[in-house]
Amino acid sequence: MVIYTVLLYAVVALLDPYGLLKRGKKRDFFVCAALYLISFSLAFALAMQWDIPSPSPPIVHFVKQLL
Amino acid sequence: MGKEVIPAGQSATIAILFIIGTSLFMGVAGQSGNSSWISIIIAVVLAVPLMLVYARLHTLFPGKGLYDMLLSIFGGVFGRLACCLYIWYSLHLGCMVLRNFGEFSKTVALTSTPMLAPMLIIGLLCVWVVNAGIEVLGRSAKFLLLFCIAVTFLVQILSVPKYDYHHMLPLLERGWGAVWTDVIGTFTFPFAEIVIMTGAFGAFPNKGSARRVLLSSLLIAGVIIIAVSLRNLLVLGPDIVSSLYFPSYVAVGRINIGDFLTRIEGSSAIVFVTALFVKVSLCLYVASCGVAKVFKLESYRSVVLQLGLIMVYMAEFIYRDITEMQYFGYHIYKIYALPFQVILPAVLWISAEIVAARKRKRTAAEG
Repeated sequence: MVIYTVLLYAVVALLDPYGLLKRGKKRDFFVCAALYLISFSLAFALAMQWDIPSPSPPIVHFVKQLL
Repeated sequence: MGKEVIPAGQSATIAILFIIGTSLFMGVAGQSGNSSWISIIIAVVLAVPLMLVYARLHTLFPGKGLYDMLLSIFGGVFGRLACCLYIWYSLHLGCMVLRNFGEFSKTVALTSTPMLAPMLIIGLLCVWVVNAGIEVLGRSAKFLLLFCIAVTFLVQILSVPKYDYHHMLPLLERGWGAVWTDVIGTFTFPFAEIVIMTGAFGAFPNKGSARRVLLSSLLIAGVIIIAVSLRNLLVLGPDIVSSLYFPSYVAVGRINIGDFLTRIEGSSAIVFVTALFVKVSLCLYVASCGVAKVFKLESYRSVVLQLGLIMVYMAEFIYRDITEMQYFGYHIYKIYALPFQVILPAVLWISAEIVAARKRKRTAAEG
């Protein structure tokens, strides 16, 4: 699964952020590349079955504190 | 690329599918038992002034979306901060809707398939349609709404033999307290979620269209949700409805016409998938537009794929299980969503009115 993820993301890198760079959209490329890194990290962590902290518990905690 | 414009009719269909999206299958907050329909009616009535506020924002800023409004009223720094809040909200809402679908397929439809698979397929479909543009989403929604209404109406008619009117009595069994608790829950989920639509106001045609679109879609979606909730209540009874994660699925499963037309719940699940496709797509569109505005990108399309993938992955780990999803949806969400749906738009509206009044005064003094 991890190998598939890495291979798939190599293709996505060529199509998405690199495509933007080739079209001369530098600013779009940087933002897209940053999001690509986040998305790849999440996909990799999920493929490795690592525990990713969910945003829900802090929200639940905050709302409970509020009430 | 030219400015995208969606006609009022198509905007209304997007809004209707957006509102009914998850509620058709998940149901609405149900602490009031057999009086939940009263709470839905009150929630619709309470949502009307909110829709008028959103529509007024469109009149004050014609041709501008939510992010443009925030940036022009609150300035570069605070405006961007508010934009980031809305980017988060639309991304989070998209995740929650996708997760509802994931839990639905895991619990009742595709029990052996990993939850990520159906969510990824729907997520990529949403990426595709958002990349194609909001106009494509509008045209798809116009066709899909007709289909959804037809299926819902047919199921409604077929359910009539299963209605047990005793489930309606005694009215207000759990008192007005439970009804008002449900009103807040139903107001925030699903009616006030339409605040996401303000992110697409830039694609609306003219000044007066927003009021017509928002009010008509609220009314139509309200009627559909009340009809579906009443059907669930009459078929299953208040106790069973409140104990189920997907009451509509079970209610439709009870349909039996002469031992010939049975087990049609799978077919009715198409309505759920259709509506959530539109809802997730709009959330993704609004989140992408927000990122494009905050970082001054040439096009929102540059970030659609990555944001869509992040949305799908986040949906996978946003809740531990279906119980946590239910708890968050019915107890936490109504408080969490209020600032995005009511407080921030109200502050924006008041500030915009003050700015507009000052501008009018200045123009009058110069004239």
